Amino acid sequence: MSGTTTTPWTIESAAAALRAGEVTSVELTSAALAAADRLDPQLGTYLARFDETALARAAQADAELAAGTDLGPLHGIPLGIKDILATDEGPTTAQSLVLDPSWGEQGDGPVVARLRAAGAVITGKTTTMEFAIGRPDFAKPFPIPRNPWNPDRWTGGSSSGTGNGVAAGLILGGIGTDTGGSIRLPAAYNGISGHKPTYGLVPKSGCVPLGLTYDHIGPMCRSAWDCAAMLDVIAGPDPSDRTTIDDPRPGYVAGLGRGVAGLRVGVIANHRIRTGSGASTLAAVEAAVAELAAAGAEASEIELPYYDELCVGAFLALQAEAFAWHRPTLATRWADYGRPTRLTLAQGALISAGDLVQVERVRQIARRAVLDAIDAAGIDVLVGPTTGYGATAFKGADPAAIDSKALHTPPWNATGWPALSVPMGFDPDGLPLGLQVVGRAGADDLVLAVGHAYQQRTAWHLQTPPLHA
Amino acid sequence: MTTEGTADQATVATVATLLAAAGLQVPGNEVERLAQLYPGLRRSMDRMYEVPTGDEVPAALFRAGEGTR
Repeated sequence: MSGTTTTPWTIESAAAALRAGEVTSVELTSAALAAADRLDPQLGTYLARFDETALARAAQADAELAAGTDLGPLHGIPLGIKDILATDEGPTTAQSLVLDPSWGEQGDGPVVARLRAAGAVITGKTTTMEFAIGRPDFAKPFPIPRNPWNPDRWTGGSSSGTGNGVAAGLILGGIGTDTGGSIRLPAAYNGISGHKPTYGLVPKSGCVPLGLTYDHIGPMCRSAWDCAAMLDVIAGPDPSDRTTIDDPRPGYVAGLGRGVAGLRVGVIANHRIRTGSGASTLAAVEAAVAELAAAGAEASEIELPYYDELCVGAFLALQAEAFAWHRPTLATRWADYGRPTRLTLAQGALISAGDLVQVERVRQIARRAVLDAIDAAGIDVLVGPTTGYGATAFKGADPAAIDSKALHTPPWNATGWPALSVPMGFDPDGLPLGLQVVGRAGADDLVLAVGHAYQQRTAWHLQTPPLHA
Repeated sequence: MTTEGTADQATVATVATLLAAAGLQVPGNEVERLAQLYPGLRRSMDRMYEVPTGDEVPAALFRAGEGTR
């Protein structure tokens, strides 16, 4: 591990400090913006900054808190928004030359509006991969997001800027989106926590779609507590997104204290996990499971049915769904897309209608089979590595690390189940590794509680990288 | 999911046809690249037919009564 042990701000600690009068929102926001002045040229966190409106909102938050108006733990907290969500302040680019500038003129969607209503300070729009797909593209006029643990390494994507911004202390939290792992992969690579909620728990309107039935919006923060605080604000149905579901559970922060005593934890033992992960990653999972067991959980290995099909099918379906959305512009503006993006999207044209229907039939079968398997085993949550290796190098990357088999996130986009990535240690190169915690549909509270319990016993989530505010 | 390799001319022709049918005008070198990826993509899709799906309906939503009063 090459980082420091300086305790960074979390949303939880900052919220407490704000209420204790130890810091002001203007001070937090000014420090975050100053850190961005210093580090963003190296990190590529921001596509657009909203310094003026952020500082004004911070001053307003300070005045509100001083007057006894408390909007909750996000009140006065600097947050970033992935630049595929529209905001009132300015344009949305999706990190692409292709997106019609008028797309973002709709202003805040429900997620951003809810954050704003909760008093959050929106500091800007963070980098992504073009349209949340593809790879870092050095040929296009956008920042290349770099990993604060080692700037020669990638942040992971596609919620890249939110991931490295939280890790480096440029923001205390932010919004990411996840179609095949785009919250959890950068969370793991940057050493932070990221939660992909149950499909439909958080409305997706106001966000450029990728895989229409695989897309999720969720929080990225230092801790599970922080993710729960953000989810408390952004979850809930909205008429603008007909896929949203009602969630009758009490608050997610309120549910964090349940602990893991007596909880049955299934350690995913499929061949794909073992062959798609490095030795240090598997050892870190083992240590994390031992930590949960020491806290009272009962752990056992489980091999999940149709696991490989869920992995492969998610990639196929999201390519087909993404192609459907992009076809008009691919047909007219092919060269304006980045090469990695257009080649990925165009593969959707090579998938037949029948193929997609079959993928979606397998998706149903597989989701039910996994549910039956964990029901039969009495398992409450599943755990495994988020990704098989630490952050990949821009040049000369280990082929095993960039193989799709090293990405262990897509099955849970296919099932739509909640999945949280929390830091669980470092690889031999000093790069963070992520533990993925998965629950049944709607069990976001349980997944977050497991992450929180783990973080009560470990401090991986509080490590700061060499490039830090 | 995808594999590297040199594409044979039949695969290049298939991919070029599918792309054209989708309305895409793709430069030759990129058709070649997609043709290299296509066999792996096809294998992934064929694998889906090995799952006994019976008369299962696809996951995509359709609600006949949605929006009616």
